[in-house]
Amino acid sequence: MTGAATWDIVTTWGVSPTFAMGLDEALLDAAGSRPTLRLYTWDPDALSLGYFQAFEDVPAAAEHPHVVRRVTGGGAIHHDAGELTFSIAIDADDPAYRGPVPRSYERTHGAIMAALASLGVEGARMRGDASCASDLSGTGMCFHDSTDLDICWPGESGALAKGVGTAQRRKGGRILHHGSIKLANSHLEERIATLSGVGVEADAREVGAALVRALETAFDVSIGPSEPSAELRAAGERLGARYADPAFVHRAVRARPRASSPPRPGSPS
Amino acid sequence: MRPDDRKYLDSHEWAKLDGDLVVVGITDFAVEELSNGNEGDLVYCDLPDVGRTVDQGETFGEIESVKAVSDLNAPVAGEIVEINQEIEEHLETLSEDPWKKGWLIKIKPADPSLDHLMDAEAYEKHITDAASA
Repeated sequence: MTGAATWDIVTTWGVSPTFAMGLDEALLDAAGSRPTLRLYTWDPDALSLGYFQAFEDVPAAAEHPHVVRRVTGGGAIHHDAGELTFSIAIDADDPAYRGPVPRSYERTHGAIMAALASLGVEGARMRGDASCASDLSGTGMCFHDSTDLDICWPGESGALAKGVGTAQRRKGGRILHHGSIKLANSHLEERIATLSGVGVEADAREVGAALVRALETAFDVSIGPSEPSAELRAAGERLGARYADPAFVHRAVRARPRASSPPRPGSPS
Repeated sequence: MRPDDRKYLDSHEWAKLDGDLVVVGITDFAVEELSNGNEGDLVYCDLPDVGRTVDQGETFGEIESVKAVSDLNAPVAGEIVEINQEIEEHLETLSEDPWKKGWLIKIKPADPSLDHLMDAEAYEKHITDAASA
């Protein structure tokens, strides 16, 4: 721990897909609480759709037995054993997240890249105007659709590829910042950058610990362990039910080509 | 200074009386915060069905930029009587003209008073404080 301000950290390993999402919503709704970093993994593995994604636009969703819809936007993510999911729930006027959305990403991504470097991942950077070898049309997967702010590094082939997926929900003066760090390849997310792909063998706990240290330094805060209260857990269970509800997962979403496609400099591709 | 012919929410929506209706939109500050000035960064806007009633402060829709989904909040209680269908297909209008062409919904208010909202001067201070706090 380093800084004066304090964040809580909640670790929930191997949670159900519905509780994974429900607890994040409970944390987002927890106005007045300290900023909270949550680290988690999923069991069973699951596919999460972006808030505005049509189920039909994600071919893998039709094949997967466990599909939920996130409250954050962007593309679909496969949450399996080769992945660390994190979330940060924080007031929108906290110094760490104050101001334009892209600036808040740059600050958070700076910390994530520092964590990756500390683990031995070389060359991690925000994509900027560079091309990204993991971009792949037609899958609807987050990791196959990069933006200029996305964290990429040279993958197994040596070409720059996306290795971290992030998205925010802003609601009632609060922010939920979702993130997914890829430790190993998933058959649903080929061509992406992973830690193991560049010879870094670290499990979710080790990557989480590196992320804690990097966030403490980046935001000059102390991040201390905290157990989610019984009330928060209950809220997570209760709120979680809707995330796998077919009415929510298959909800009608008007198809609209992303304004960012095809790629253009300085913007998402 | 933002237009002084309307009132503002701290969540960056504006509300303007138009006859017996309240027209609602989002401010240039909101657009800038979401999009970083790139109009293509706004990718989706979900507006409610006409006929829905909302409470003051209730979420009536959502807007997605490249990196964030944000709620849209009703400045007054009432019935939504019209939505700007052009916006869902032309989000760039929010960047080009958030004050007029970029309106989102029209509400027939239960109470037409906007006195509970900020005037332009107070909103200006609100966003200045938010930026420097």
